[in-house]
Amino acid sequence: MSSLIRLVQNEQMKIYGRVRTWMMLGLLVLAVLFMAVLMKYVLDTGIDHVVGFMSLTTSLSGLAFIFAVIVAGDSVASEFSWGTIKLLLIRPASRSKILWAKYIAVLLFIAALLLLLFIASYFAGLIFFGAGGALPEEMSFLSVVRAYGFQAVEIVMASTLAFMISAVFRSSSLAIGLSIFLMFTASTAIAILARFGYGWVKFILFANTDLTPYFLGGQPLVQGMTLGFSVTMLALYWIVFMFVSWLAFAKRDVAGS
Amino acid sequence: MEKIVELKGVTKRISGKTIVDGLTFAVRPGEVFGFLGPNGAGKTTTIRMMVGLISMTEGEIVIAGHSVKREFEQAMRQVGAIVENPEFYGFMTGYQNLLHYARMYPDIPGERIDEVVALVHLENRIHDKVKTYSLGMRQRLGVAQAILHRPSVLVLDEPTNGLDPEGIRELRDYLRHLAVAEGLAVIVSSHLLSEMELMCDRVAIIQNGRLLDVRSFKERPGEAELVDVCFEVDMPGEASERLQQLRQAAGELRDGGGGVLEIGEIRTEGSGSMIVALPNRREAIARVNALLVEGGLQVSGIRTLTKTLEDQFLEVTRGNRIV
Repeated sequence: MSSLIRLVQNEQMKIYGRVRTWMMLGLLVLAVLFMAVLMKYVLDTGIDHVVGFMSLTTSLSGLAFIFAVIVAGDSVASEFSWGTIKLLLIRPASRSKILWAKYIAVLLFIAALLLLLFIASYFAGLIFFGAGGALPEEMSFLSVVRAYGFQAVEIVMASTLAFMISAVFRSSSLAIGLSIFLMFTASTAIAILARFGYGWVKFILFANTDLTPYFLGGQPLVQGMTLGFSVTMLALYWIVFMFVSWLAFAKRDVAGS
Repeated sequence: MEKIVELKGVTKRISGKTIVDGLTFAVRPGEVFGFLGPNGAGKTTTIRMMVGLISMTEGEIVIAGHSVKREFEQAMRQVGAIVENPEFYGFMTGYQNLLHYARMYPDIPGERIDEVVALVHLENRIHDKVKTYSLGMRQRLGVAQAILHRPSVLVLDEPTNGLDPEGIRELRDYLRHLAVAEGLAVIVSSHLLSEMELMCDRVAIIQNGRLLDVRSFKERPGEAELVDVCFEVDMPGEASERLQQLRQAAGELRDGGGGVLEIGEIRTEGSGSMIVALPNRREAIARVNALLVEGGLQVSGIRTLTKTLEDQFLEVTRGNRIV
């Protein structure tokens, strides 16, 4: 009965109503400014073009990654820890719909983070470095946008994982901690396993989240991996994550606290 | 009989253990219905099943003609609830919290929010963050979110928990008002017997997940029934003896109104009182008093002992401890 759009509005209100969220957004902008000052006055990097600066600040998406995982991992779990879940689920809205609204709000937050990073980088770059200087061959506005695209894939997958852990264990610290830990350690572990010739590592999620080799050249992790394979794996993982989240959220009892 | 909420053989089992066992009862519109039982009796589980937080293993709950299981959204449209303590988003204002819940219904105009805020007297603080609210204010905000969508059933789980006496009184008056003026059915659970007695029209007593009894309070004992009357006398032993002797000697005593003075059980309590079961009539008490005074006993006080809910509760649950 209740409309999905209004449920998403509610979730947005809960995300942006918290001081924490604004601190995240502020930190992201500060990080961009800090980097601009560092590049211009401290290090001798020779950057003299906005696009050059922007391709550097794509590395700050690591910050966006952590913030997105925190919000995703908190989304379901905080309702349980606050006890508000008891008032949320007794409305004329199915649990599936509420879960979707939460997930959509997480995706919108990821979009907001990346957009903010992009815009802040653009203006900081313009102010500090201008648009008149020389640009290396391989850097272009398009390549920056593409880099954001690759980052978005990783962030969305990690956030979906955190979202699922949050729904299953109803604990935000576990969801946030485990997702970030996995994302940062798994790539190293996978690289080592791949080095030793274990072909099955290509079926692991984190072996597929980095799509850059397929576009920018370079070796994929395991010989014979293709873009089609990785995208299929990502889609399968996404479906499993969402299905498990739904099972945990829509089918389980909300018993005494 | 009109029914707004109906439970039909509602059962909940969790890993082989039966928490709620075949509960069947109905609640009428406009009544305050209590749900009474010791801790762990299954009250909260049943209430959570009514609002869909916990699934049923067997049976069905129908609210305003809609099954909670099959037509959840339609059923929930008719229900307002506070499950345990009302918890809110502390970082948002009271108004934002209400707006949040209002958005979950298809048809709540903005004025309705202002209306319920005024109803629970939160106008002055509604735009403050909920984390600055006292427990009493949160409880009132809890009532506001529960009646926001004009439900036909209000479900409250332990609503008086943590409230001061004034808050409890306020809540009680308010629930009564809702039931009488708006024809709302109110279902409250509690383990506080005295509270339930003041609040409810009927009470279901449950223990170990089973319905033991449904009692109505508003019916006072009839004239034929015996009620306990306590006489404070200087020598209860002698008073008791005298009554017993009179009863035996006369075979039948009459009171001032001409009715048969039937004297039930007589017992003494402490060194200064005697409790006699008498017909529920003024004349009966007056006559016994006269008999005592005639016998040279000094009566310093008389009072009728009504059976409290606590007595009834213990009467029903006693002997059922371990099932």
